Amino acid sequence: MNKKISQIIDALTMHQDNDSIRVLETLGTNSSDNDIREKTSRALVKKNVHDSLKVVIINEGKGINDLSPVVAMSTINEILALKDKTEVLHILEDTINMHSSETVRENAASVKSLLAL
Amino acid sequence: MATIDKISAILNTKIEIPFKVKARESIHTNPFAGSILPADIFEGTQLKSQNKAKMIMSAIAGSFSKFSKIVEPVAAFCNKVKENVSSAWNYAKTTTLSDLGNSVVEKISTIRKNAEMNKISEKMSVSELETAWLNELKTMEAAA
Repeated sequence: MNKKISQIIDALTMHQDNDSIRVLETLGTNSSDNDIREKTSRALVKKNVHDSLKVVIINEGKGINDLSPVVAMSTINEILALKDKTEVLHILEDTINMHSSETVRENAASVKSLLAL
Repeated sequence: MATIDKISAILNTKIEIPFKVKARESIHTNPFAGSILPADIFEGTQLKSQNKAKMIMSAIAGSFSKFSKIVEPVAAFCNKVKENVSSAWNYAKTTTLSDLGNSVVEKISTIRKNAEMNKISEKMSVSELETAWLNELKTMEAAA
């Protein structure tokens, strides 16, 4: 992966401004590069706020729903590594109950069961 | 009386003592006294000078071997310098000014890139980071 982009993602991860989530979603999770998508998804999970977690859980083709198994598994691992899982559990519950896509609901259910282990 | 004569006769005869050491033959002090002289009695003047020359030569040879030991690293150093000079000369001959210019430009761009890399941090605003990301994507597209 490009070193400069990696540094930018790291800087946005540490940024407190909520606008950083928008940039990560727009430029990172929509990138054609698997490595950039993986790093961005992990960065959004690390932020551990409602808006960032929502991006990697409820969006089709992003985060845990990414078509690349490497990106999806990496995101799940990052979720499992979170110390405070309150917010992620809350979003997972809502996704399982309310999301229109069955695939997204199933993925959310799988992650929730992994968290329960 | 006869007995006395016998005894006197015995006494008059010389009895050789078996362990008496014979007197040494006199050594000729004068070599020209008639006897044959051994060849190495006198050392020739030429021989002496030869020995001296040998000594001097061996001394020189010894000192030269010591000197060569000292000189060897100096010679190696000189050879190294010579090689470096020749390689530098070859480089100067083969490298054109445009090549030098290109290498300088490359170095400057690398320094600039590194400076930009060091500049990226969370202290930058989100919009600045976004712009940097977009610029990097443009650079990547241009390179591809």
